[in-house]
Amino acid sequence: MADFTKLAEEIIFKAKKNGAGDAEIYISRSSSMDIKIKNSEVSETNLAESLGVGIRLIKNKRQGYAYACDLSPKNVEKALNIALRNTNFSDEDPYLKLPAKQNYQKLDLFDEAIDTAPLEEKIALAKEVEELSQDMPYIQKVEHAGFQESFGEVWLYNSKGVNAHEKYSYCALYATLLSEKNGEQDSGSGFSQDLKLANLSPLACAEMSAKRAGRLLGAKSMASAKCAVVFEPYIAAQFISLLAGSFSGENVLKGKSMYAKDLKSQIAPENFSLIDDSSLNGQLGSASFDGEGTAAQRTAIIQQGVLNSFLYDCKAAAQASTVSTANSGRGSYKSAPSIATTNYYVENGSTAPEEIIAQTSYGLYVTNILGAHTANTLTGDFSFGASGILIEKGKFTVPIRGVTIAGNLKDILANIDFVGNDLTFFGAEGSPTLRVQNVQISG
Amino acid sequence: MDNFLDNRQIAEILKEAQKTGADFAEIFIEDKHTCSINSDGGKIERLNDGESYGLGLRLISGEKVAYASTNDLNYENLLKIAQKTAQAIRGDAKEIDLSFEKPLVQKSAAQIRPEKIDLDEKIAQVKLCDQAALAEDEHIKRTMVSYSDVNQHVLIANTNGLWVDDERIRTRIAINAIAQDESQMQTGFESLGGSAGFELLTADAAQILGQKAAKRAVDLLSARPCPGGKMPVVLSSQAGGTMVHEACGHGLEGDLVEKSMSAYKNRLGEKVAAECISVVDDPTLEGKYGSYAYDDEGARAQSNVLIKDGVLENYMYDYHTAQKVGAVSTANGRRESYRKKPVTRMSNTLILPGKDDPEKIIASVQKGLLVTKMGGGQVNTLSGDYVFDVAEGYMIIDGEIAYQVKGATLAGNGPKSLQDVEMVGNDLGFAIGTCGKSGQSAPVADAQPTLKINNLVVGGTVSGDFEIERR
Repeated sequence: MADFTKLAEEIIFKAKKNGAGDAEIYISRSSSMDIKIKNSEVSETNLAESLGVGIRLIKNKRQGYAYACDLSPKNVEKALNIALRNTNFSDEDPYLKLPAKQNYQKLDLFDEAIDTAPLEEKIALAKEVEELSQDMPYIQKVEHAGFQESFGEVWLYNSKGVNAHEKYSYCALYATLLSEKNGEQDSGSGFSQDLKLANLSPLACAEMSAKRAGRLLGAKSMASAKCAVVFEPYIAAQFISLLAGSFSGENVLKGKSMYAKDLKSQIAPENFSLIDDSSLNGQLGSASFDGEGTAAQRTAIIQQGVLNSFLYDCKAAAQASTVSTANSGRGSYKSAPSIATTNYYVENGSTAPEEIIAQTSYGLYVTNILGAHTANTLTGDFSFGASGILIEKGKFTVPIRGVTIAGNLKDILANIDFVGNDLTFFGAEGSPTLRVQNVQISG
Repeated sequence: MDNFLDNRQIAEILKEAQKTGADFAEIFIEDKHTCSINSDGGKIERLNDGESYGLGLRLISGEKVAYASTNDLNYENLLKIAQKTAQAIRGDAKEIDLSFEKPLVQKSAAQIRPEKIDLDEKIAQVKLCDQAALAEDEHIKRTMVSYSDVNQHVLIANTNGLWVDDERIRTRIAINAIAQDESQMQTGFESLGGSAGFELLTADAAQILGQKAAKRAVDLLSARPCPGGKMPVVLSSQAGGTMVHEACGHGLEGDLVEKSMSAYKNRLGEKVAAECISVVDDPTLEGKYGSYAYDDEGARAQSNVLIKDGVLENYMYDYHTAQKVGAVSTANGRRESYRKKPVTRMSNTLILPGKDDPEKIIASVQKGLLVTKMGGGQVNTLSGDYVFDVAEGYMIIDGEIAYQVKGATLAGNGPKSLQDVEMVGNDLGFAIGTCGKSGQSAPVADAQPTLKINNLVVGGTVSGDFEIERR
């Protein structure tokens, strides 16, 4: 295992000599492989590798950040000098702070099997997805099926004694399918992803892709209505992720959260709890320490409908007179860390999804939304293109497309009445089926 | 680029990569200097100023593509990567003679190179923008300003003997202003960007940007909820071009057409839009955000007529897609960075101006929506269904602007919307954007004249009927 302790000590020493109060060094190395299959043959391969270092300094209560994409003494020195210079241009912030040395629990995030499995085995998995997909209802063509894997390794050091290292891996199967019925076409994608190779399921991937490709064929528009909307887990998770920024402690302090004044208030029904937990084994958003070196933890953001906690990194926590919730995230070594969710999910409720449908006299089961990124996460206002399946008298009737759903995210959360028992993760975000009352649909 | 590899080494890597029989091998080296400054609430919070570089290697063998990327540009490492990448291809080595006899070198046309400007001066522009917004109205409580300049220097060399050394400089500044009254919060966004240097920020550009964003946010405080339902919509030329980008642009990208993922597949020569509609994608426009001299495969940029008088003339192509369907590249092969293989992308996409007076277009609507600023959007290219956000809109009643609305989205079907265009203004307005596709983002610009489209679905927040009193 590579160890950069000596390099880090040198940087910290030089930074302090130049007046920095604190210094942090983050090194990340990653590699990935992606193989696409088309007509039973490998049609595309993609190999990638990357290494970089980010240096963060606090000097005179000002932050300075810089990076280098190799570890050569010349470029690391250059980055250190840019970081030092940048402290002169940032505005003063009395709350800037780095965490002290702490103990981390060991998480199971690296699967040796992904690394050692022969390429043929991975190709075979993707081919199996392609074959299984071809036989699914309404599937006309498999646009592609594929396998991807990635490996990452991070090293984090700071002047307060943090010296942390972690390795992680990830793998996935994916497919995009074209469907046809009565001359009408549609498409859909699906995946099976896991931290362990043995848990990948070609069948689950094919089934998800085929379901998403085939179930809206023959869709029509529907009349405008204010009615119940049922979000399948995939869509529910997307909705919940739009709220994440509002639970950032930093945004709360800056008046940029629509929940800024709602701590300890009821903002959702009692059967709804929203969790952020980086300490889960086997999940994509897990890490034994966060981007600054704070030990992983579970945070109930919403506990039985009550807004229980915001998410903090060290700086926002210091300003809010609380402690970090280990939510300092790193997008890449090229930028300073900032508050981010880890494994962010709605806890399972008690109602089976079938039961939620059966209990709905009229409503839209939403399976796709268009324009999720256009939601105004500051005000909560949104208006999305939507498609799905109409629910009438407790049963699915006709597929629907070309309508919009609109409202405010805060109202969506408040008007949830059913929480399903089918929690599913999509990446690091997860939710069970959710039903929401009184949503405006325009058609 | 010489500081990384010389042309002999590049030729050797390409040769190594082609040893297993690839028809084509290409190297893309990128050296990118980025300076970005973000302020929040008037404080400079994030300042990033640095260099990153890397290399992408692409092999093509028939339909097959093998790609690899690294930021370790050590020559020995690159030879190893070339061998590893080539394992995906099975065939006989090709005899190639690579001398790169006609190197093409392009310098950015930026007048004021960003690296010549002190950080202080860039920060001053960010603060100017922030302060102008705050001074505009007492309801403005906070602003977020972001500035960035990028100098992307690329070298593209391939086994066809192409050698393109191209420098692209882009500068952008954007502001999000937050207005607040007793009951609500609203936001106003404005951005300015181009394939240009610091000259983009003329004397009062940052200030005007701040004022515009502030006004947009404050105006929304008194806007009424937008009624939903089907109605005629007028898209003002100042509204930008999100509609053309989503409704037809993506569907005309050759790679999606080739994958049968476009509603415009097999429709060349057919009437796909009203006769008053002509659509062009043009990366050669001077200084626009989506402009370039060469695409990311080294093809010389050219203007492409996509739809002429309603008839579908051509798709956009990258090198490999064009090869697969027996066409030629239209210089629309773009990539986010050395890490990604090029895909077909738009540059600056325009609906060309028509004959109608914009005021008369508004006057012709009995009841409908006027959109004066579009936000982001998305399209399902296969069905052609698209949506985009209305950042500023007004209800039109009896041919006159009645009142401002908030919370609206437009939903339509690309091919159908283009058929439903009834009037085309004699004006033209541009907007900039960042387009996302295949996990890659790319700077683009869009433009359109004032348009009247019948029967778009307006996704509003209140029920359909809007015979409310005028005010």
